[in-house]
Amino acid sequence: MTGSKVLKATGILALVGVAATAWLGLWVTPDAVGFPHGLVRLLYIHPPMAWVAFVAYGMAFLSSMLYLWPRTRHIRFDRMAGASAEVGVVFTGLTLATGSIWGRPTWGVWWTWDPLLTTTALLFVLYLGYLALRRVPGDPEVVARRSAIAALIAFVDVPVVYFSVSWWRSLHQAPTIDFTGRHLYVHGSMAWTLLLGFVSFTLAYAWLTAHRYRLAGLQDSEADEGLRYALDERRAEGLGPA
Amino acid sequence: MSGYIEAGYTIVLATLATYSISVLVREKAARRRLSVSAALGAEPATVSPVAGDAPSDAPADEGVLQ
Amino acid sequence: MSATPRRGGAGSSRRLAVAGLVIVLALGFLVYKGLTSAIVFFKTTNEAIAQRATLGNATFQLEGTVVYGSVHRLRTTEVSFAISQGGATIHVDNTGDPPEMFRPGLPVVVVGHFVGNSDGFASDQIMVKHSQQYIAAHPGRVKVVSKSGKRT
Repeated sequence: MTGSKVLKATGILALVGVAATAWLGLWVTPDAVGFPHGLVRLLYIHPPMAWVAFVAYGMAFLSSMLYLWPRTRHIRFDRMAGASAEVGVVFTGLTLATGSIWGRPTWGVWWTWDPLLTTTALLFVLYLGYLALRRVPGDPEVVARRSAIAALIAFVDVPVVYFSVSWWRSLHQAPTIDFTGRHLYVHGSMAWTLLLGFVSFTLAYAWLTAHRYRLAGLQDSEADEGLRYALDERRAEGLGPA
Repeated sequence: MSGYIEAGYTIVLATLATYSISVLVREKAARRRLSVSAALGAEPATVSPVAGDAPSDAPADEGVLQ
Repeated sequence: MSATPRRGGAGSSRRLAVAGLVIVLALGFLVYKGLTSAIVFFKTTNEAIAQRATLGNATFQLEGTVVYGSVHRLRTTEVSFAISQGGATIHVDNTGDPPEMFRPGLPVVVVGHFVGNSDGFASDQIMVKHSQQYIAAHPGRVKVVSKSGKRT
């Protein structure tokens, strides 16, 4: 009950925050030096998409660890991993889409096989594969275990994506927020809007994942219900002639 | 504004809205189906009580219904 | 039906196999691209000069900073300029419209090849690198930014 209220409040905050980010980003913030036609305005949505994707995969990684660890093993961690990864895939798709849209007018190309772009595309396909693997039929415990192992393997690409810009030669600029050196290369109201974008989309992630997690639980109960009916019927058949 | 900016914001907001609605709708539908089958399921259960020997590999209900 | 993906029937398992195959092929393609293109995305100007003989007329990506005062528009869709890096300079003739962000002082990556036996480079694509610094433009003042194209 209270959990439901917190979730609802998160949803409302996310909605208000995203709307405010769009308003500030599109109309209030100033243009940036060197960016014609207000093209800097894509700054407020593109990095937050990538950030949320990282958070989502981090959550899937943690949940999978908790599932694999015998003392914390519980099917709810498997559901959480699946829910978070699915939301992560949506945000990775949006990272690629907004990056492409931003790349065309600034770099001059929609796409190029630069290390950051290539490893991000890899990230997208890896987690699509993870979601497909989750759907491969089997004993629920076996499915959960192999999914958890796959989530740990896929996560290897996350740090590779983040550090690709410093490890290899890239067309992409260094991350706007440098977590290792704690630098922020954005000025004034632009920085505040970007921060709001990060917070709001993270809240949206939390809300979406919580609902997706609930849905997964409901789907599992439905599947069990179906199984119970099937068993009932079979039993009834067996009892009939006796 | 240049068309690119509008396209970027539209794709993000539209995708997230569509995904959110799809999750909510599926959640509501699953909940409705479960409550219907629970109401129907009460009868056969009294005829042949199988609650005790339910398949052990079935994941326990997490109470996510509420 | 689809609400119980874990216990799907034969039809759904065939669809899964197809999806799995597509995903494995995509992974293979991306790893190939990563190893061939992404690891060394471009050669710097001084590297290209040093490897001039072995590079021949092969197509590759070349990076350098556009030299101030070197940009000339030949025709509407052709631009010539020089790029330099590490003490080396290469003259580039580009066919095709340069991106709007293209300007002297910014690093670019051009796609093309050396012409004949010369040190001249013919490109058909310019990609502009911009930094991660976002500085608010003040409508009143135009000359806000100094020539500090310094990147770290």
